[in-house]
Amino acid sequence: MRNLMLYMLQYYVRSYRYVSVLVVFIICTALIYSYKPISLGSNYSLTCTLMFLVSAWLAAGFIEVEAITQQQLTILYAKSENRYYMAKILLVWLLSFILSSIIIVYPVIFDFFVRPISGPELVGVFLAHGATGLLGIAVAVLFEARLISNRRTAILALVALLTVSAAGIILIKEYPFATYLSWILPPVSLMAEELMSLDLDEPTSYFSFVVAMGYSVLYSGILLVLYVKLMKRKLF
Amino acid sequence: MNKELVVLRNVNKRYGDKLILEDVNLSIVDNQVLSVVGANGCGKSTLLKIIAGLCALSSGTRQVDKTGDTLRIGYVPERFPKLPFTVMEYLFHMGKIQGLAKAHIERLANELCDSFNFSAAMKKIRLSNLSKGSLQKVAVMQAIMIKPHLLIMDEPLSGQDVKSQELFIELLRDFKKSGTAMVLACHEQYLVERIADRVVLVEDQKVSSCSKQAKERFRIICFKAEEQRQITSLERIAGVRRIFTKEGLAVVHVDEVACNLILTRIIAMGLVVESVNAAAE
Repeated sequence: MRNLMLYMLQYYVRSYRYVSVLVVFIICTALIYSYKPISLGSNYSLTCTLMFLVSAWLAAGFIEVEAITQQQLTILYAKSENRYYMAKILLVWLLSFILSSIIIVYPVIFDFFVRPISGPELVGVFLAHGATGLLGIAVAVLFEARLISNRRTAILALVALLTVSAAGIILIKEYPFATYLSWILPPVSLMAEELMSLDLDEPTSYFSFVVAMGYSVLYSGILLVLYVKLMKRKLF
Repeated sequence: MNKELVVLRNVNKRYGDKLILEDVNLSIVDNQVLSVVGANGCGKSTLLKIIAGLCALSSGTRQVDKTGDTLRIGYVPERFPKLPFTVMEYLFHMGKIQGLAKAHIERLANELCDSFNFSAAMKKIRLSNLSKGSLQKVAVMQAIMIKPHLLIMDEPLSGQDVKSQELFIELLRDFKKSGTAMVLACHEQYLVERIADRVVLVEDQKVSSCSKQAKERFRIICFKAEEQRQITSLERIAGVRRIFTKEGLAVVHVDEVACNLILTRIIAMGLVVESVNAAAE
């Protein structure tokens, strides 16, 4: 698994596909932290949603970087399709988590917040960013070229889905019937809402946070299992 | 008795509505070289991918020998991609993925590069900057590096010069002597004749097997050609053994199994077939 991931990482780095997503990430981070002081909850709620979008973009580029013929060879030599796809997902999640860590730790180090962040809050923020990052990856990989050959349709559908998911809270507030939609869509807004509560005098309970986390991870898990199953059925 | 490494039973393969292979029954056995012949686009590459386990079956089964060691398969694809790695980096990664130790890979990779006449400078060139012939050599290197039990090669000689082809045939002979099972899809008839123990023809979605004796039988097709290029266009078709002109007629010696296919080609060119006769070596 480690060797597979090292190979995939070097392949990805040499493809330079990360450049555009990295540039956008840096610009967004700079913009978010250009005003100080900032409130803890609204900031992390925003960065959480941003990481959902960045991770999806990262995954969409990463998942297709390897040439199809080379994919055949790698799967053959990895001796397990499950191991191959798991290595891909794990690596892109690690890359996403590194970016998440930067966006989380940066304001803490430079003391940008109106109040200091506690240890448990920081752990919760990391977990939430990790979960939404995974969610973005799980959504994006389902639009891979081998699954949806029409690239224009795939990209448009992915962008639409990401936008609606990220704007979930606003949609629900504007249109109450969209509450039902929020249970079908990737629950990124659920996580964002949990983080937003850090600004309240009485933040939501740990239980509701754990439920939101659990739901996000379960949602991602189902999508990723579906992805691996579909890829195995599609197998070249 | 030779061990069956891979067995295909009643295999059908479709891409969407298009039937590519129908009711394929084939076994790949130890110590045997199987050659797959057929026209371009007939499904040879798909059959090879199915044997390698890289193609999901529409129906039927693929069984792999589970006695002894895990079956090691080396695969040479038809078009090797231009990757962002140097030759050594690529071989190193492929070796590591297959669980080989670093020192072992370095030794093997250097030996392979030497045997394929790759200079020290060439080893450091990225695959994306290599010529088609050199790229094909890397494709072969990565496939044989792990000393596979089964070596599957899709057009291994394409893009290779005559010297490299000879080198490659020698290498295949060595592999054959060492007992490696091989499956070759190629248009080079001389390679089939020199290496293969069995030949199968892929035609009209069917895979028909023929024995060594059948391979030794051939047909002589005589036809009237108007231009030289019509004759030369047949030279690279799998199953064509010899082409020459005699008394104003073009004469083609073809494998018995490939006769119908080549006749169809000749007729499709609008040429008149004078005679078809059976012959044996």
